[in-house]
Amino acid sequence: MKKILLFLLGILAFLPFIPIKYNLSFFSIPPQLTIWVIIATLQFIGVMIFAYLTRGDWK
Amino acid sequence: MTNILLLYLGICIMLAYFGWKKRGNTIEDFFTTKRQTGAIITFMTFSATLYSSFMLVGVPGFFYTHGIGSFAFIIFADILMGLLVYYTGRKFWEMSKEHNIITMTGFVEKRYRSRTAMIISLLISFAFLLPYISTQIIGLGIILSNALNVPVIVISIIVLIIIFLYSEMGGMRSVSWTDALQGTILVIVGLMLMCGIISYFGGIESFFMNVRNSNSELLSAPGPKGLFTMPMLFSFFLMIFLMPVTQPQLLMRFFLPKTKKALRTMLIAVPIYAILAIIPTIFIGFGAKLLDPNLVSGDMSFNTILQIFPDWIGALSIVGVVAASMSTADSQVLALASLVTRDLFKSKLRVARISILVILILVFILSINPPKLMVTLSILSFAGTLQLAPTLLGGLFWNRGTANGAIWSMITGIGTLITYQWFFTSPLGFHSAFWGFVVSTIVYILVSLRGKRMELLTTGGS
Repeated sequence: MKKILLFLLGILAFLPFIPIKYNLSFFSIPPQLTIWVIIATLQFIGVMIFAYLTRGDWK
Repeated sequence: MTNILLLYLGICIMLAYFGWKKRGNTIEDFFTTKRQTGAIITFMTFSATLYSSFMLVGVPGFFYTHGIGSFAFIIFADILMGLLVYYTGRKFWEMSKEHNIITMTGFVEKRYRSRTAMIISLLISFAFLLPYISTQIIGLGIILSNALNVPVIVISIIVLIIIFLYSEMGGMRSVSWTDALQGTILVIVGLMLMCGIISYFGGIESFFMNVRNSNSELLSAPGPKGLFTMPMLFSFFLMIFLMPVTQPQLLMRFFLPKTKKALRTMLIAVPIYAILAIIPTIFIGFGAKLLDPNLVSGDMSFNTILQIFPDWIGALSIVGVVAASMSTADSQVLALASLVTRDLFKSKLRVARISILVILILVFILSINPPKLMVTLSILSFAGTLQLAPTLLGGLFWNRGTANGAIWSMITGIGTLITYQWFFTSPLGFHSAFWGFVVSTIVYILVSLRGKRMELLTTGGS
């Protein structure tokens, strides 16, 4: 589970730097920023899940 | 303004006094609080050290000049930093405890059994951090001299004396306590300004509509000046993501906590703090653009945005910049002093105190009349220390890494950085630091594979 999550986070780390033209926008937030905010949110959730999964490793 | 500033400085001195009352007489206590720091203070001192005045002044300036790309290079690096804390912080903490390591260069010397490798890593740290501290003090001097109508030189002296006082009095204990205060002020000021700016421009939607009407290029990468291409953004991401390992003042924070569990707090709290600290900078930078699109420099965004706020918020915000600068500068001074005292001279507490004074005097001299090279080195601070990454990460995880590998890796990394920074155009649109990192990693691996295997340092029973 931890390895799958790390793999996904690895993909999410590179995703923002792949030049794709996005056309997604909420509240007039520009499309580029919108997609970056979505990726950052996913990364954040991923790191929090990672912290939960590794809670036993800190003893 | 003066009252709020005096109140803030007074609290800093008071915290330093409490640190002084609790301090011990050993070098370990002075530089790492004898690993007795709690989880929250460890996290706060780490975050406050990570975010200098660059956060409130430099990053909004990036938004002002180069647009939305500034968001990408900083937010992703800072959120994912938690993973770096998990994989490297734990190991550094264990090694520090078992081998009594309290500095980055101390780790290099012990792991590679090489004084040469230690001295090269120390020289790189000094070459790229000392100018960075000086430019922070200059920046702080300029902002405060405008606000207080006092000459820059006087401000610089006062700030350096205060840093000297609390670094000398309680060492890391005082520095980490004041960092906790300064880190809190930084986030509060950022959030307060963000709320004010959103309200002033009639909401988030209207804010971005205004920015689009002002200059639509700001809202997409690579931005109006074409700086933030994807290769360039990735280069910046790499520099910032690896900072906790490559910058001595941040690495030292892994040696502070009482228990390893405290580092888990960092894994969770660092990304939260990053979001709270970074998002306001979008609004400060773009807000300044809407108010005055013709500023001489983007770094003036912070001062420009203050005109829409009442005086007391302006004063508090300037205290926020002072706090951000001081929290990073004091940690950097203490880290450099620890490298000199512990690793270069293998000396005692008195030398630590003298070296803090000498470093601060050097900072002052450099900030009075900064040579052109110093300004460039300070801009390249993150890029320069990135070249230590293969040596440090390889030393931590790869038992084939050798002293020669480390030495040649650092030399070629810096050489490549200099070559592509000053003499040739960096290929494929990446920053010269990226190529330095690539070359130093390849050299580290190739040279190490030709040498004798060296054992990794043991970590708590392993």
